[in-house]
Amino acid sequence: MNKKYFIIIIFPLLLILSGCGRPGALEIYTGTSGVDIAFMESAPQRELYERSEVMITLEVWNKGAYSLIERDEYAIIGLNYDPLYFRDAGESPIQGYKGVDVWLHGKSLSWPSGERDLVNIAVLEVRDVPGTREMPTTTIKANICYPYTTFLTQTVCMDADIYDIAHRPACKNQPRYSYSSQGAPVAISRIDSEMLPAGSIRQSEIAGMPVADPDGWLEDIRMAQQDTTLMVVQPSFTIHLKNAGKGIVLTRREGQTVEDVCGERSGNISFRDINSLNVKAWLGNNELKCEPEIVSMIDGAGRVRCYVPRDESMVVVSNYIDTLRVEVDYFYREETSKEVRINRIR
Amino acid sequence: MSEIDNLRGERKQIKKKLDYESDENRKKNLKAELAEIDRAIKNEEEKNPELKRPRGEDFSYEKGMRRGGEKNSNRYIGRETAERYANIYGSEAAEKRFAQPKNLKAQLDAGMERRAEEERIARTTQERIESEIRKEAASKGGDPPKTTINKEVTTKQNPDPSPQPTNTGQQHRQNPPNYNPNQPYTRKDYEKMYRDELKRMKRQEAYNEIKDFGRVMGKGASSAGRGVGKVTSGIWNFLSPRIKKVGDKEISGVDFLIIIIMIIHGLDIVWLNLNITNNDALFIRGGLHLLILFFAKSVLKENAPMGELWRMWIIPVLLIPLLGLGISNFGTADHLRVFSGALLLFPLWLFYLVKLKGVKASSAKLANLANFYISALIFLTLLYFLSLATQAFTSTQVIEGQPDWFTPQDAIYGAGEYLGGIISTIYESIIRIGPGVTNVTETLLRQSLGDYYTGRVEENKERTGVFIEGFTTRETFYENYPVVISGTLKARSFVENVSINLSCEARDHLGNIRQGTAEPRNMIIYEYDQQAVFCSFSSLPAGSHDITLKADFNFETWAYTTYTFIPRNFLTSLTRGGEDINRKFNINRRPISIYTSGPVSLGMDTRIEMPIAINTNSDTNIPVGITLDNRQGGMGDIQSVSRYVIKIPEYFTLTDGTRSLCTRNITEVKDATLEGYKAYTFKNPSPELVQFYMTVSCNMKLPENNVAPLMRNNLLSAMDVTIVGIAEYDYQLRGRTNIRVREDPVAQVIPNE
Repeated sequence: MNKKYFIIIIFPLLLILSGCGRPGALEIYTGTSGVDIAFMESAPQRELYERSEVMITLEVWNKGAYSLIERDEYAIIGLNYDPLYFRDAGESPIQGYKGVDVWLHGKSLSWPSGERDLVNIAVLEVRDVPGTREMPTTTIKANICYPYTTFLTQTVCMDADIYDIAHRPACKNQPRYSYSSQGAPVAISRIDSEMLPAGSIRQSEIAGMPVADPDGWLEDIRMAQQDTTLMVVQPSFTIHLKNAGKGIVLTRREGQTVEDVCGERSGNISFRDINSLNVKAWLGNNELKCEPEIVSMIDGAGRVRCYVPRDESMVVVSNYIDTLRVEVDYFYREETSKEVRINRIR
Repeated sequence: MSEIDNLRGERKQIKKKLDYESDENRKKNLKAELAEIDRAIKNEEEKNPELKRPRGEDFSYEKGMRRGGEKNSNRYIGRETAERYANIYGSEAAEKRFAQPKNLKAQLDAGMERRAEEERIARTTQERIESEIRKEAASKGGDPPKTTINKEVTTKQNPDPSPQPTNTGQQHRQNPPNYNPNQPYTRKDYEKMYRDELKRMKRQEAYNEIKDFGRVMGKGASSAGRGVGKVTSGIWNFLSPRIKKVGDKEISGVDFLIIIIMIIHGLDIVWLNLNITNNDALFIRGGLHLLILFFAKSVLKENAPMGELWRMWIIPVLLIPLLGLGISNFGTADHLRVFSGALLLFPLWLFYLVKLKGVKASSAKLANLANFYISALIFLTLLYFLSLATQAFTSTQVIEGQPDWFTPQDAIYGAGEYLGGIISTIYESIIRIGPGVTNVTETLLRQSLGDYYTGRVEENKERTGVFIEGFTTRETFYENYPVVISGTLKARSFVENVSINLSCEARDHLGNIRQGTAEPRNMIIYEYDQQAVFCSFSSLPAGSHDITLKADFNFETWAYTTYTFIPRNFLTSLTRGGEDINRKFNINRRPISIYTSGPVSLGMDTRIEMPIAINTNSDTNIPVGITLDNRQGGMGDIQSVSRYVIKIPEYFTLTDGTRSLCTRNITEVKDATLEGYKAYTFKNPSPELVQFYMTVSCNMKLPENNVAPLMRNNLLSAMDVTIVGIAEYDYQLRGRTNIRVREDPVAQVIPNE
């Protein structure tokens, strides 16, 4: 009987308490969405009629943490449809290709959920149903391609005490950091941190040595040479990436524009740039060397090692905390579709 | 156990201890003991020589025991030992010694006899061959050659040697059946032979697959049956201890079974009265009857020993109504459905259990109820059947001013005719089962051979095509009087005009055909129309006649298949990255060809997996084809095909494929009806083919410089494109009914007029 009352009273209480949390906390760098697109319910409608015009309107929503607001950073939206059933009623600068450019803010204090917009992408004319088919169904597909960046900042410990000698170090290196999302479709899932020993250096310095009298009282300070051993470490970070969204990752190279990758010149990109991206990392103000330069995503996951070059290894007198900053640059391409039915009027 | 066996057992024990003993003193003692036992064994063996073990052999009975174990040694190892022993001391001593299977002596004797016989045969054969060789040599003169026959004719140690492989690595190549060494073959001939052989092999493979499929289905069906049986046994085992009483009376399993059967038969009556004779209802009813079978097995197993006979009787008895269900699907006559319904009404189970097998309910009341139920249902079935049969004879048609009344003889005669009609329709339907099954097998075969494309009919709000409905009559016709039968012709089409020509004929039981007059003779249907049609004869002789109304019309069937194209580089990169393209781009792996409803089916090539990779730096070839076939269950035939048309987007070109039909007969035509598409037509195929399915296959070529416009300059996407296939043909639809023409009553009364 007591058990029953316990369950009846305590369990709902636990449920209520679990809902408590910091009210109104804005979490910008969370989530695995980038720029999402979806067809409006009524544009196009699910039931269409031949010889009618239909407007294609998409809801475009930047749910990620990166803003597409620069002049040369925007999303391109494209539309694909079966030419047997549709024809372009409007004018398009490119034969048959519809591309619309969109700029949107990401999550921020001004845009807590990210900027959302409705974009009229095309007006299509529904053609006469050919032949004797009564109610054909067809699919209209819309795709969006945009540049994006995943940011991550993590404090790390520059730990020279690799043999665990120090009695009370200022910090200790954590070998692994795990994350769920950073407000972008490509997420950094894990960072493995290593402080690789890169040798030691002996340092001589003139230091004041206290001289005590037989009674132990300080008598004099004599300048003498003192040798100390300092550890040299080569920090190395293995960054694990994951394609957490539903789209495809494309490499973002230096000097490439959005049109080069997402627009009409997309046919020129190398196949190696598909499903791959590049990563940059800094430790403090020092840029790390990342290998491979272009990270391939296999089964939606990839890995890159960023490290301080050996000739730039760091001398650590005593452990201290530094900041690791990671930026993952890429283009992202997603698609959505809607099935419509075309009814005859003849 | 004999003394020597005891000694041997002791020896074994001591040897074991000796192996594990580490203390030297104890080892010494054990060795002394062992020596003593050996002496004792030797003495015993000297006293009884038959107990002596062959020494120096590379076996031992102990080893055999360890190797084969206690269980096997007498059967295998002991036998081997016994044979060796028998060779030395004779079979009687061996049997005595080893306490072997009862017929060991006989086996050993038989083995020895067999070996002796083989040696004798080998010897005589050798002598015979040698004498023949000597004779041959003597007739030719000279010394006879040294024979090496001894090597071949030797006593075989192993009576069943494993066959030696001969000519391994050399394939014996056979010439084709019509091979003529004097006539040289051209390359084409060889290619044809190769293709025929390939076809034959594929056909054989397909047959084997169908056989395997049938075997698997059979196993599956029997497993399913066993499963159902287990489930029902389980249900019965669950229920039986709980069903103890109804009121004050205890009920047994048999009582419960009888009650269930009566309930299910009651449901049959309700269904029949509500005129629910559609397929679903019939199958449910058949299923319930099958359930009775499994319950009966569980119940009767524990209650009444029925013997094995009931298995033989129940299944065929139960199958009759189910067969009727199946037949009714092949046939088209409504009375078939009624027939199967009536059969289900008959209390087969109760009749069998209570009347034939004498199973009794535990209470007299229930037994009486069951008997009454059986009688009532039998009476109802007969009444139902008779009422249907005599419906045709309750007409009050006035002929020449005199009302027509039927006599009891008429009723019986009519019922007999009606039954005869049913039997003949059942017979025809059974005959059609064979070709129907063959048709299905052939279709499966065609699909596996790769030259038969399938599709799915479009589900329309209303049916498209031409239909003859209600072409039947319940009137009584008389000799020397006009015969008119009416029906309704409905047509619905999206084709501009459907021109229909009507004709009709009558065939009597002797096979004589008489042409009738169809009205209207011609019709033109614009999109949708329905008209009453009549088939009339000035007169027909007395007897049964099959009346056929034929409608010849032109029609079109369109088929649509959507292909999805994706640039090859893009596809390769994604696949290399482990992406599932179909899931990513929401693409159906196998496209479905949809064809418009009508009298024929039109399938398209849907064997290629989507998406199709297209080359951006070279031309891409994609196979495309269509198959036209008479729709299963249709009441007509294709008379001729006017033309085939394939419409493809303007970026593609149709080129020759692997089939000669495409190579020789394809023509591009101007078609302004579909902007952005090209049309290709095919000449008529051979007229003989109209009775079977017809397939045309070609290649669709996409030049590399058309890839960008096809993809709308977006080479990182997938593009859907619909290919259209059209068949324009002439079709003949038939409506059938059967009438009975009676003798002229006026002529009978006033024969001289």
